[in-house]
Amino acid sequence: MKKLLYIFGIFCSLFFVSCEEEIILDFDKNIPRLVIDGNLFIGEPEFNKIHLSTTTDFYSGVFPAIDDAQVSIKDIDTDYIYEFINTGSGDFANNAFIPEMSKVYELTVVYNNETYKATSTLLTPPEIINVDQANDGGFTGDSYEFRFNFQDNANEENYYLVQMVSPVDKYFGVTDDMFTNGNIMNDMYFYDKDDLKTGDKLNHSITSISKGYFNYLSKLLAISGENGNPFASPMGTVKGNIVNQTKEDNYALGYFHIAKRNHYTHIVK
Amino acid sequence: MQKTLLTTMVFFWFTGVWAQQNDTINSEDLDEIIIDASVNKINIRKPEMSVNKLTSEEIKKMPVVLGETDILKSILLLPGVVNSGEGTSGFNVRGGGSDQNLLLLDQTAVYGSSHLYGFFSIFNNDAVSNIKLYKGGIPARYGGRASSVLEINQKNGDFQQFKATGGIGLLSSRLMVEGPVIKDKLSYLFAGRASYAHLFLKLTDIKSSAYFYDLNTKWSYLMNDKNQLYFTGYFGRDIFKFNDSFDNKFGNTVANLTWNSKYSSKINSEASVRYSDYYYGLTLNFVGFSWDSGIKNYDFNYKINHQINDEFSLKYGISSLYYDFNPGLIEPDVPGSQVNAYQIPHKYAWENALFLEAEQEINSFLSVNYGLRYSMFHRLGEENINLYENNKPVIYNEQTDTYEKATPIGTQYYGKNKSISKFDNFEPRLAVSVKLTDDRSIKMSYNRMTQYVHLISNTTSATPLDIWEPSGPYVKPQIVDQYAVGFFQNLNHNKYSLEIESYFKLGKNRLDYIDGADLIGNRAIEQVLLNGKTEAYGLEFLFRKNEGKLTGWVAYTIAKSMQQTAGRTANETGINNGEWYRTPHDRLHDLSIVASYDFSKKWSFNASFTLQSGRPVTYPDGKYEFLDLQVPNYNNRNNYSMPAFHHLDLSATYSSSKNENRKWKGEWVFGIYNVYNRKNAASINFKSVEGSDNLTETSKLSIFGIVPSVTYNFKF
Repeated sequence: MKKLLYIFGIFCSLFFVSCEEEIILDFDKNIPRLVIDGNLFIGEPEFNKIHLSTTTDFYSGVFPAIDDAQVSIKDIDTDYIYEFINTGSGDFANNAFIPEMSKVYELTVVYNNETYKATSTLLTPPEIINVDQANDGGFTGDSYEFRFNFQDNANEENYYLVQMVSPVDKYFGVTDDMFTNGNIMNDMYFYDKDDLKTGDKLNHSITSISKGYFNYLSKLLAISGENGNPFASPMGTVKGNIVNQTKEDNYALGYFHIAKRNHYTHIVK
Repeated sequence: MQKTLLTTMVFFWFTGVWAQQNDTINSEDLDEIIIDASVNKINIRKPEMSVNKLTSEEIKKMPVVLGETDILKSILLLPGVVNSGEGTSGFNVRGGGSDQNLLLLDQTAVYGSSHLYGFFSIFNNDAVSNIKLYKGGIPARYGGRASSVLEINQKNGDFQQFKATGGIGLLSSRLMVEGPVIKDKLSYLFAGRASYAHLFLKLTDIKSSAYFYDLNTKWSYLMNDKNQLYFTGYFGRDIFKFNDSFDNKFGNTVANLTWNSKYSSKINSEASVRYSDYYYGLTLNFVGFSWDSGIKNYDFNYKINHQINDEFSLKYGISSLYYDFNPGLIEPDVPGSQVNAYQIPHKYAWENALFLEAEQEINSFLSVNYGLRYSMFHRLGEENINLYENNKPVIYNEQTDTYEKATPIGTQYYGKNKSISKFDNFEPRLAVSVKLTDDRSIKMSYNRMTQYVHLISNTTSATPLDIWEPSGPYVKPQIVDQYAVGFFQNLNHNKYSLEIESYFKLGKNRLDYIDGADLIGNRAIEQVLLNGKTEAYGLEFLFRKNEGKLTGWVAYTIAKSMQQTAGRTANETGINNGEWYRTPHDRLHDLSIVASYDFSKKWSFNASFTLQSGRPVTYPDGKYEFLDLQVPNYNNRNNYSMPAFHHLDLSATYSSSKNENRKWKGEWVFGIYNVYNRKNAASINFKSVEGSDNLTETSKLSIFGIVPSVTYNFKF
């Protein structure tokens, strides 16, 4: 649904556009603030870590990493604490951390003598049933169209995080079942014929996320310009679920969320 | 992928239009211009201020984009009126929102005001006789919107003979015919306008079309000395179709039947029944989805004009308006679509008002217009209303400092026509004129305006998809108080006139939206709404030259428009940390210069220049990385201004000398919009540099560069 509104938004906003040019603006100076990227996908080394950094100037090419912090995750059921070790470049990892479905976990980050905490619960992800490929899709009818189909659970509100990695791009998106509850839903993509060829691999992944994380990512995707709802209202600072226990006003940006993804590879026909 | 494809697609369409601009002819209408000083000179005595009138002839003279004469663009040249920039619809009066303007086509409310997603207004100037904009001192007979009233009065058809006018333009062609059915008794007027951009689309070998059309009609029946009957009709549609994938239609239907009756030399009445309908439909075949939304209203109005004596007159009456809102119907439109059919339930409301307005000349220098409007609003069933804990549909999350949707704890059912909520308000109105000399006066006014319907939109300008929400259990009516004072002077035997006005406005219950609110297709819109306050003030200058070969005006406004949505309790932050912030239509400076020069019988020249402070915009104060995304970090809303907005437009009209002796009169209008090719910023975008994981850039989008146009107009 979000995607659909997005398509329409682009359509409206670019209807008469005749000229876009790069400009340089004079911004206020950025005051660095802690950012905790606590998006964990279980079993995926690239995502099975906590990443710490700070905010930076808008035109800067470097996101300053933080390595001098203590990071741990506690299993709330057993009180067992997994210490996460700094592996450089702001990353903290523990390979022994293998969370279980429906369990609650608590993240603790200690940085500059301040303690930050957040919790997350692991949800069961859906599986891609099959993929419909059409070679006459899109507005003009001459694009590739791929629908990755999955079953929505009719008994609850569901929120999904999807990712597509194609030979030409990478894309994160979120969707919900507001208009499609209980149906076979599809996650749809269009590609120009020039961008793909037969035999190319489309690596798709999908997972269930919490409503809070869905709201957070919707806003984040919208303001980062990657995706999102063009009809959504303007936003100030997007705060996540991480709370500074020492000094509440000195909040950290970012989110802590653990998920298990299901992957599906489609080979372009 | 999606984006690139669409951009290409849209660009393709646009180049079609662009090419057409340069290759073909464009249309603007210019009748013979009769400059009548009495039209523009100020009525020093009358207790009426903050009102601007423009005749259809004046509007036609203004140079515009593509030569498409545009009523709503013409009022932007008046003091105290701005909009969101090129290619946007709507307008903002004295710091008010675009939804706070009451647009009346022959006294019938109109909801969607633009064609082509905001590029042109829906009002065909050929069918219009004049317009009148009330920015303040609004008389008691008007109500329902908080900021302004724009009256658009259609022409009556000619009672004597058949006449036609028309034009062939770049984007559209127009034809208006009028004449008697029964001489001196019954006359008709038909005006039609249609764009032909779809022809060019078809040439590009795409099974697509994009066009608009509108039809106006007016019937006038002078039954006898005492009774007259008028019928006004309007129907307009925009149609966009791409391949079989995308189908978008929207537009208005308006009808009005008015019966004027004269009881005596001192008393006459006006009774009207009116209907107005705005429809928006969208079908996206490739995702198997269709959407319908809109608003309908039925309206009865009865007004008596009562001239008690030369110094004292009354206007009184009633108005009754029934609304039917369709917030959205979603349907799967192909078999196997993933979408469930869903109708967001219709909402119904009934708005009634009684008004009494008196105009009185108290003595040789003091005259007043005072009145009272009593308005009532009922939200009616049938509807299921959500119930929330503590009556709060929006909850505050103290952990993330954000507002979130509350979960309903139940619903309450209201049967058909059962009252769900009721509001009533007294709206006092007052205008005073103090004559200082025969050419000079000071005027003051106060008005309270109540608005019971709210536009759900967070874009800076109106879009065709805008949805209206009636006041109800969780949404209170907007109330705006305006105080204004002005100095008025006619100079040099009415050759020049000067108006200086200052205003101050305070508003409450202005809707604001929680961060990231989803407004379209929202089944419980109250869960994303918060109540705010507004404040606006400004100083306006208008200097006009009313006679001679050179006529025109200079208008300058310095103004401020702010809003605040504070937390409901001490723990809540509100929007923008509860601080006041600039509304999207805040413009510190606004200068317009309009000039018209009658060079000879054959040639006349027109120019207009606009210079405005840039629109407020929110810039990030930094960026960070999350989930491989580069996220700009926004802090305070509308903390910066876009670059200044300005453009100069010129046009020249050539009427052949052969015109004098023949029935067919033709003329050519040559126009240049944005003569010095100013690239005005329509928006500023913050985004990642393509292909880079850590670089971001800013870019400026501009819409119109220099746009030349040629138009041929005729009448016979």
